[in-house]
Amino acid sequence: MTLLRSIAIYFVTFLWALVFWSMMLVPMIIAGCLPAERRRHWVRVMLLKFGRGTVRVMWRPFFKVDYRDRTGGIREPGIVVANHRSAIDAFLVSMPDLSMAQTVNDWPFRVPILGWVAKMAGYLNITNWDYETLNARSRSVLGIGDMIVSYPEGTRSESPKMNPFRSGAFRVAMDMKLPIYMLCIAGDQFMPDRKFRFREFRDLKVHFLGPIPADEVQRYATAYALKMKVFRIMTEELASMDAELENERQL
Amino acid sequence: MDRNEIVKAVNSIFIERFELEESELTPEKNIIEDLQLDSLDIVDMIVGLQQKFGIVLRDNPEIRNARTLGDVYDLFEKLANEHPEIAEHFK
Repeated sequence: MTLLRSIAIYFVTFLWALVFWSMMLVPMIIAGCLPAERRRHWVRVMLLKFGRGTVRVMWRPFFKVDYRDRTGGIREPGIVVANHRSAIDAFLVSMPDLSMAQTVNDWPFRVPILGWVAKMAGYLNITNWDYETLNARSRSVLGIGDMIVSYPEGTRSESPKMNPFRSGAFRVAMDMKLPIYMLCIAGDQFMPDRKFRFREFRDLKVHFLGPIPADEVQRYATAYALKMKVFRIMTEELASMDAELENERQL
Repeated sequence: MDRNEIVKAVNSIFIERFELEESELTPEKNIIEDLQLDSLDIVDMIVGLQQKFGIVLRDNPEIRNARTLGDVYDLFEKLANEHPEIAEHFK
């Protein structure tokens, strides 16, 4: 069943990617003629639509995603901190319908096609870029009104328990006086597992929280104090989301 | 400076800069695994300790090798014995 499940979802996703990006060929060529930052923005918008289409339409026969926005509609550009249980989180961050540049390690930039799209979208390379480059590129993303998504756990946890947070994104938020939003994703710890197999399909929950306003972010003595505050808020929210999912499964 | 004064001074860095509770600060706590400090946080810790004790730790290999809070207490106990001016810093 695991094999069939995996083949089905990858096939549907591949087919959708083929159709979507064929339709986006002309917009991509037009975007390619725009100044760098506008081009990156428009590629991010296309990726957002691709991600939402994947989750909302193509994956719907397999599982549903219950999305709740608890930000009160605030959309001031800032950093979106997301927990990271599985590879599909890269799609699930599209749920708030916000154009975002994701912070990624170096290896996705080296993957054929994916790496090229990540570069076209101006995704932020947190492995190779120095702090000044990262800051400058972050400023241009925020300047155009987009958000930055960070996974401070650094790698997939594959568990309801979050890995310890790294402080980099929080330091950027403090230095650049940015609000922090929190995107809590629950239920996808084995979708897929580390070997990219879908051992099960489960309904998921995604809650968008915050923001912690920029002036409050500034009040923390260190990035550590800020990250631990965010860690506690997200731990509490995820525990309640996991409990809700468990209750719903038992009904 | 006695051990208690050193423990209190080191802990004050973790309380003021990292907003940790005093009850969380016990010698066996691993700085990375239990307190969740990463490399950037450790730089913040070193800066705080330098300011508190009035010494330069940048090139001190022992602070970089410290794994637990107890290791940090031990290091400052040793430094206080070697450099009496550290005690003066607190007077």
